[in-house]
Amino acid sequence: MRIVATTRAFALCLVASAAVGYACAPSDSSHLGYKNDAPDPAADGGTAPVVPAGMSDRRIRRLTRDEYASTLKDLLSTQKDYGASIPVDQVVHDFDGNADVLEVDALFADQARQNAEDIAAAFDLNQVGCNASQGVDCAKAFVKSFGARALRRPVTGDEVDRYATLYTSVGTFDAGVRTIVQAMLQSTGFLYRTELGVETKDGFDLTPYEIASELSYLFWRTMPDAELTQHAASGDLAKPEIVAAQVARLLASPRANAMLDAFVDQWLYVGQLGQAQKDAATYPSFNEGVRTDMVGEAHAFFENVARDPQGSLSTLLTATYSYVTPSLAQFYGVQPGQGGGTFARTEMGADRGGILTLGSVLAFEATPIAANPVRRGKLVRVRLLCQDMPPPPPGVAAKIPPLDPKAPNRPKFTQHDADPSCAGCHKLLDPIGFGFERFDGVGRLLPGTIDTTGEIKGSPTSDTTFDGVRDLETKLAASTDVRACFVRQWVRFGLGVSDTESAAGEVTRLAKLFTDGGATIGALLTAMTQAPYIFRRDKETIPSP
Amino acid sequence: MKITRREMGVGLGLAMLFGPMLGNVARERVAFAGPSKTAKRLFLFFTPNGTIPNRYWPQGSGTSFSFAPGSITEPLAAIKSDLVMCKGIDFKGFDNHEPGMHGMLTGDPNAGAFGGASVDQYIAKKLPVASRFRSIELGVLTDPWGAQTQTRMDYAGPGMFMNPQQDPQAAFKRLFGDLVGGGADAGGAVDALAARRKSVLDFLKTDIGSMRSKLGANERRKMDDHLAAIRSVEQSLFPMGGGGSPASCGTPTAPGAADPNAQASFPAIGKAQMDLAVLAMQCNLAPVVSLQWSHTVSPVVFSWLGLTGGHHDLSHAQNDDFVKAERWYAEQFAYVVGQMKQRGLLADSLVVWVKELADSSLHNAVSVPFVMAGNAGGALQTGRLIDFGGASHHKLLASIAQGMGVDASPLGADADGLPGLFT
Repeated sequence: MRIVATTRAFALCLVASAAVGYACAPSDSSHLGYKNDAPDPAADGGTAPVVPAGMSDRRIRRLTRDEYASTLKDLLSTQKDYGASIPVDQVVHDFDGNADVLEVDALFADQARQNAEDIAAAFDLNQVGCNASQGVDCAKAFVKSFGARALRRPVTGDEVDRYATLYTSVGTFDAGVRTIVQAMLQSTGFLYRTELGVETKDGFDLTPYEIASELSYLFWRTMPDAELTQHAASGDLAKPEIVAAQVARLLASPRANAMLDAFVDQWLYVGQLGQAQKDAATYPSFNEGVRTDMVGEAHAFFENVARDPQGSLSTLLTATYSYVTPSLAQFYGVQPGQGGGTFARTEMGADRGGILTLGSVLAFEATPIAANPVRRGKLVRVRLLCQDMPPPPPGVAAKIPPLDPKAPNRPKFTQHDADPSCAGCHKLLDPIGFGFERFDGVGRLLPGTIDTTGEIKGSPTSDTTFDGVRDLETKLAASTDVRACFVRQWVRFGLGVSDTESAAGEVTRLAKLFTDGGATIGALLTAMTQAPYIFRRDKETIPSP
Repeated sequence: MKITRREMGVGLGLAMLFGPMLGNVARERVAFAGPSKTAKRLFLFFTPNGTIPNRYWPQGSGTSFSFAPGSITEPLAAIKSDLVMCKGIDFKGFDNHEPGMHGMLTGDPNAGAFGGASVDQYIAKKLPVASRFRSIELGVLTDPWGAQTQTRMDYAGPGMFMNPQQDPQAAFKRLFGDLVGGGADAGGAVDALAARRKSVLDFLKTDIGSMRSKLGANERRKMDDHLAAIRSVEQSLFPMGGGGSPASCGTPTAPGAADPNAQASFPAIGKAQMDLAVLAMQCNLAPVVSLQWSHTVSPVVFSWLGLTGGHHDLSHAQNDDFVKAERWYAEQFAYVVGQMKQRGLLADSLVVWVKELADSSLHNAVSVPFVMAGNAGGALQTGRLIDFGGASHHKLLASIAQGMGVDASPLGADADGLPGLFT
């Protein structure tokens, strides 16, 4: 695992800088982010430096832990989770798919070996399709048929020969076939997907199989299905219009929930709600059922907006409805939804609506005993505006004032305004978070008169004042910064690239297409999959071994 | 469970059973200004989020010091004669959570002191290969935030994490699976499985080379690192240099089932990982073992102690609840040191309890809490509190290397280590 970029600590603590006058300069990823992403080559003693791949560079992508596990599920038709023992992926900007850092390290290799041995030992030899009487010819046929799925492409002649040699070295038919499985599930063809292509006059054309994998892992986070594979085999997946038709099919399928859920899990930390501990004495009604339902609500809401032909970034931020279970409706104090499904659509009332008012988001951005405006402000700053906050300077004194869970937060945090050394950074965080004061530490509405005015400062083009989260969301929905940031998060998540200059250029290009397409999520995903990097890569000299 | 010849031999190679034990492997050392006696093994123990200095440090100095009742380190009183409280060691030029986590063992979050590697990995690479693993990294709830600089302390090189295994059952299977018959043998002979593993490893090396030849210069590092990983696997299965001494292991017992991602499992997972770490050392599976509890900015709620606040929140409040949580960590350290002593491992071990911050509220790195335990093969006289008076923690890292018989010259002026630590 290699580091490309970092950080999330800052807003998790209340920090007051002792360095008087410390100026807080959030970095706009589009200008500075790529610098943070490029480790110092000179420091990389002995091994090759990590130079992040640009958008048009040939590359390979190690399967993420999720992709590895789901690929084995589909390949073997099993429900067993083989990802459990695999080390967790390195996250970059809190997304798990960055191809620059995903590598096979010693622990990964050993756990993949263990899984491969277990799978080989239990492998049903009836699936082989031929038997010992055909000897090595049967083994070769099996390599081609099983390999076509495991490697997500036809097995090359050279590979068939190498697997046949391996088979022969083992001695018996049964053990030989098991050894093929054991080796293939640890092979580079299985553990990585390639974006290498075939050399042409002026570059490299990605193969239809590579395109099929790109689409499949992007939309379903697993190996291509039979239909995609068929289009790869016929070669027509090299045509943008066929890709567009497949993208529409993939997105419409329930299997795309794997991708949509993963995005919202990582983008807004919905997936980490399970780690957010809540004090049972302070929040007795926040039980495990509510917690589970909140995650389900976020998934259902995001899935529905993403699949709605009119579903846009604005819809995400300003929808008046959500999808709740009866018990979650009761927890929120709204009417249960109408219609079928576990999560039914319902109107959320005057104070609630939009993705920032989801219980999962509000409860995660809080402490076990109280709401926290710093965390909530930071969420908007980093995840919606893409402005990474710098870590506090050396020599900070960070005392958290005692928190009364019943009292509003604003007075407790005014110290940040009073102390100029605090104000540098906290003026960028707290005033946004104060707009959330209507919501307690588990996402319930608080009664009574509450000051929910807030302000965005220090953004490129989104500075504004607002009153309450819904007003904030309306203003964020109109912000070009937020639109560009949303695109950037998808580029990070979906394409697995670091914040390089070429990625920044692609964000600009996609943001225009996104806007022109009514800022619908469908328009963004379509634009991403019609881009040049889906089909080809730049010329590159391959060094001799 | 009884270890049979058949089970033990799978993949480990029979030669190792009769091979030299780790301690007898002659070490070729570069001459350096270190102690004449050295430890056979290093055990690093990490707990997060700094401390409350005036409720942490014992009173007194030298061999005359005592733990105040109710203080954070009072649970260490039981092992007082086995440890050295190392006061007055600072991180120079950096502080705070993330830099502390990154720089604690690498020496510096930016430049590094060992070319970007952490001291444990620097040592592991310098030692002759004589055991199944160069090092073993275990974790307790280290993964929920993903792998990133806040959640990792061990580095193979610049920007390259050594990921801890946070699932004790998976760790057990990796370390001891073959020994207790938990391997993948589906009925074939032991030697046949070993042969198959060898064939597959050879196949994978060719496969990696083939992929490498298709890549541009920048992507080749991925195959180089993958090949190094396969070589590590190979060493763990077919160890050169002996590979440890399973006969001294006693009877490995598999940890019970517990969700390694659930905070409620924290004590159970931690206990299982401590026991695994001790067993791995007893079996000479690796000369370097580390155990990482959570990570910096740890949000763990110590609900089993009746606490309600997250550990990081408490660390800023610096209240009695934080003291309770910190005392619990001290109890775990005392437990694991006690286990090592009981199994006769402590005398030739060097154990270090490390932290990434000093004052948890000030976020500073002045007198970061470090505790050493074990006699390091006779080099470390225990039962002391030493105040090093603001020494750079590079001196501590140098001492750790020296205690393991490894030259610390990359640390330059600090390479001689902490004065008066070793005899």
